[in-house]
Amino acid sequence: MNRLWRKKRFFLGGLLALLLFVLMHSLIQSGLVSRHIQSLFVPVGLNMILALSLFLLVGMLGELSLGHAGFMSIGAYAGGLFSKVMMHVLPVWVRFPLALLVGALVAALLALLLSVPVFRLKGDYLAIVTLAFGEIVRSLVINLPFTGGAAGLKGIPKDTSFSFLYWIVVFTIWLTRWIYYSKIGLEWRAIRDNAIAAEACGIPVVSRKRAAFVFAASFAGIAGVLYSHHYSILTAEVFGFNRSIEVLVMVVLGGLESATATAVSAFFLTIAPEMLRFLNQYRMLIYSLMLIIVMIGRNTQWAKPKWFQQRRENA
Amino acid sequence: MASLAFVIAMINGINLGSIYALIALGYTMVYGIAKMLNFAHGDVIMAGALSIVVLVQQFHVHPVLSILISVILCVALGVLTEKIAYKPLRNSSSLSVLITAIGVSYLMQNLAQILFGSSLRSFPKVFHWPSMILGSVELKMDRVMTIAVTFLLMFLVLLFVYRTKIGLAMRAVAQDREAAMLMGVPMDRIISITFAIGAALAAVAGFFFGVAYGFVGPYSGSMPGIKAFTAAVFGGIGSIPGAILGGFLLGLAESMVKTFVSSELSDAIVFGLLIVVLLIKPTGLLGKEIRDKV
Amino acid sequence: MISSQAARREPSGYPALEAENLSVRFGGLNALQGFSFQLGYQQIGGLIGPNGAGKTTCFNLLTNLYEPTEGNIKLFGHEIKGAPSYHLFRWGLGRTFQNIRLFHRMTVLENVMVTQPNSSFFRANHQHRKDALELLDFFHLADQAEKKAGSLPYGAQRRLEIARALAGNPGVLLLDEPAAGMNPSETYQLAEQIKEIRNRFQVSILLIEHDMHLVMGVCDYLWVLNFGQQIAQGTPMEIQRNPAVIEAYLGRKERSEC
Repeated sequence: MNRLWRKKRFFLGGLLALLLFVLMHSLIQSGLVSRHIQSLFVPVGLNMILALSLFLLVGMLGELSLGHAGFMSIGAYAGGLFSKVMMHVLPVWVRFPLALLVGALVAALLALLLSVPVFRLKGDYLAIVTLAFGEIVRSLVINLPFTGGAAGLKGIPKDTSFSFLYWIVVFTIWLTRWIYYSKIGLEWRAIRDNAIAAEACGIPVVSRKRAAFVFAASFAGIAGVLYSHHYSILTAEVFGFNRSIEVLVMVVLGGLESATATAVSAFFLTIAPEMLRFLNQYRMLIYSLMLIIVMIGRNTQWAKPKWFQQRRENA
Repeated sequence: MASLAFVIAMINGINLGSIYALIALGYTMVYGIAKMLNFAHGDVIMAGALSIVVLVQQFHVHPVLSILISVILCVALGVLTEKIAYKPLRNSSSLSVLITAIGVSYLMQNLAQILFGSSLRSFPKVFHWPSMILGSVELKMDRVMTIAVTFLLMFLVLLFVYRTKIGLAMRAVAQDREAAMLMGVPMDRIISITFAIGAALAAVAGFFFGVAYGFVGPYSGSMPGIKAFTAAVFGGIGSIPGAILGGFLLGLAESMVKTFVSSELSDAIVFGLLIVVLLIKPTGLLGKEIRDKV
Repeated sequence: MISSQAARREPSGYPALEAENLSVRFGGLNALQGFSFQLGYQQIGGLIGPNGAGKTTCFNLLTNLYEPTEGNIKLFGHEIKGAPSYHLFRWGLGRTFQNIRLFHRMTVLENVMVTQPNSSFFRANHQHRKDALELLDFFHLADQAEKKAGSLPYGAQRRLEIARALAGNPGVLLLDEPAAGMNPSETYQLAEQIKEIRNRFQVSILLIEHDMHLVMGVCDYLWVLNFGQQIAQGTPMEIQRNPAVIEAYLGRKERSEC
């Protein structure tokens, strides 16, 4: 794979994204797309961003976080509050990017604080701590006065537009892929495969883990800001443990190897429940079954290649 | 007056703590021996409690018998889930197993919802025990029973693990799985027994949960499961005394915070405490350091 | 702190790697006691001894995975005790592991590129790829560059581990049982390769090994450990004849057999 080929791929990808955008935009403008399908754009886009950011943590670094929705929540509330306060002070083209920045930064800051103790721990502790964290956020959000209490936060300006969301999603896909092959992506994957060897090869494991965690959290925060500025109302239940699990399912079913596959998985898992409305009451049941089947399938079906066994030894 | 509230909070705390300790014990045993975090453990409580409700209310089974049947059902459930969902992943990464366990948990919850509806059902008043009056405190008998039975069960488990041959085998597997296998320890059977014990304890915990809260629904097991899970980590995951200690401490903490600080924020504060404890002692209160072989 | 690569290359008057009175205790067990050695510039040293003698423990101490209870370690004359493990690699100390620790889900090429000293976070440039492939070529792994490291046969995996350590441009290379599990012809090839590595990459090498053919054929100098203590040191010729060494490996010989 040489330079020229890579440049070609980049432009081809960009062209495809542009064409798709033009297509979708004109479909919407001409009214050919039903309201129903239009209402799916935002959830799909948000889930893609969430899934890609969690993929970074779970797929590339190999660390399980069960509180991803908590960071989305933080971003949503931080960005939402900022916009509400600045609603008549700043024009939208200044205010909205700032709101995104605020959401990302607050989420990143909390992730940084959390990461200080967490990565000193060995074992499956990240899962528990992030779980606890998600619950703490949910509980605080319901009870603190400035977040609107149980009734929720209302009146956030609807700044998220289709185009903006579309290009952020495209950017996130591109960014995640780029990171995968970059030096830090290599280092994260090395840590995932064998943390001890990674340390011996000059990789500062703890600091890299923190970086991944903070980065993933900030993107979840951005997704949160996009969410709050589309639906305009925030209630705590949206960002509960269920949400974290749904995103995790998307990442896992995407194979944990490729960013593109994760995005595709997020796409299908968002529209499938809508397309299969009649199965709605069985939706979570089917999800859980799929999750189990896929996990077992990944690990046992074909003759286990040597590296699966090695993984267990080194785990 | 504050001291009275304190005593009541203490009793409630020990009551709650004993339920958490029973569940945490199951978590920690499975972690120590099968080296996995059985995320679905909390839902076994729900299965136990719900089965008692259904047996008593729909099939009019005698309460005591229904408790026994519930324990048997939960044990079957525990052993089956291990055989079907966890055994194939025995040599996979802990991430894979954890994700599968999450899948199993969700499966159980949603299955229960489909079979029994999502609304809460009231738990039958199984035993009509009189309350004792100690000074100015009314001591409900069911609280005392919960604590007494829990202690008895924990004692039995400790006896089993430290004084029987099977218990010895279990401890061997927990310390060095490969060596134990080479020594002829029947891995499958030991792991099944571990899951069975955990499930039985969870069934009992489910019964007491129903007695304490009065209502059960398909999602009732989730929160106690998460809390008991954190209690087990709190006390040192893999350590049996740690799980018991962690369970009681968590129950007490929750009860105290609910009474004296804030009812709504109790969850947040308790989880916050967990993070603080892990900060100070990363392996939990009684946990052991895991040394990687280089 | 050791900075530039140039400083490493020149014989600066200091031994490449030096340990003074190195000791570590685990609980009541003295895993290593009072071990001192000096590895010279571009020298191939061997650390041998019966199983459990403390050889890998010594390696773990040298790479700061364990903290010694006594003694200190110097890399090119600079004290490294207490430095975080990952610094040592950048300062010129590379190592391989007894039980192979490759990045099994990454490709062969990626395994080598992750240790390359590029300074940025960005995607590796053309030159880096070329250098990595050249390195792989030396180990006859270039044609498998895009395969997942875990899918390689055993011997190839061992070679890849060495390649990975070399990609970081070390001055000292620690090899932990590089010939383990190899057949005689593979071992012979490895011996030739180790000598070539020393010449081509100008590194000092310290290896732990049980295979005496490899050790005697490759090492310039040997240190023998038993029960955590050094019982002999010398050239391979001297060591072969050292009675203490023979006793450690084979047990006490009958007086009549000589």
